[in-house]
Amino acid sequence: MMWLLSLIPNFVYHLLLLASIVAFGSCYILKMIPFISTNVEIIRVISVVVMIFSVWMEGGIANETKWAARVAELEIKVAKAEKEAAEANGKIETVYVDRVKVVKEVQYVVQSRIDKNAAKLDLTCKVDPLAIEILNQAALLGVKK
Amino acid sequence: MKSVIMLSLIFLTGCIATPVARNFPSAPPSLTSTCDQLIAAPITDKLSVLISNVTTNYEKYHECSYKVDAWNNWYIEQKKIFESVK
Repeated sequence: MMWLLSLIPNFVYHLLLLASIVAFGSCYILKMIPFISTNVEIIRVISVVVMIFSVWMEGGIANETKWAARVAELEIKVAKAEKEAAEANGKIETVYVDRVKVVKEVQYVVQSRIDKNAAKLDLTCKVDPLAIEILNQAALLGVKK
Repeated sequence: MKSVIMLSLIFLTGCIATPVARNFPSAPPSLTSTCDQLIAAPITDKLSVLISNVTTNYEKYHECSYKVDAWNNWYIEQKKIFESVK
């Protein structure tokens, strides 16, 4: 029945509770007034029913307020977490890019050394085609199609 | 009996709703590409060509290795951040 809270403003339940308490209390005075005294029991029963309903809805309002506060708190935490996640992404990407840059720099140095010493390397060693075949077999083993 | 079930369903609607939505964290764009394939060595009798090919493949391995490391870090960091929200 808590969906009623979204349809009717909270102050209505506060007023209902107040009115039911006043009605219940006034029953003791109304009992003394002729003509009305015959209907006092009906007023008392109705006021008790309205009072129970209002108290129950007041409990619902308190619970709803507590959960709304919890949701607001969580929304702040989620927003903070999303910001932290974006920052962590930035740091991780920077580290990765820097490492790849170092790899490429080292590769450039190594390649330069090979180019510089190519004549010497090729003079002292001839590669057998079988060596190439074995090497390629290892390099392309389980290669993704 | 039917009306009791229907009423229960109406009363339970408030319990189903989850008001705080969380987005799955995005990954850094540079990590989302796949690793390069190793390059086959050309048929040659020159050692310098073969060494050049091998070092190029080493470079590819190192790049891929750092990418895997970055993914592991990404997972650890994002898990830590995800679990901090309670």
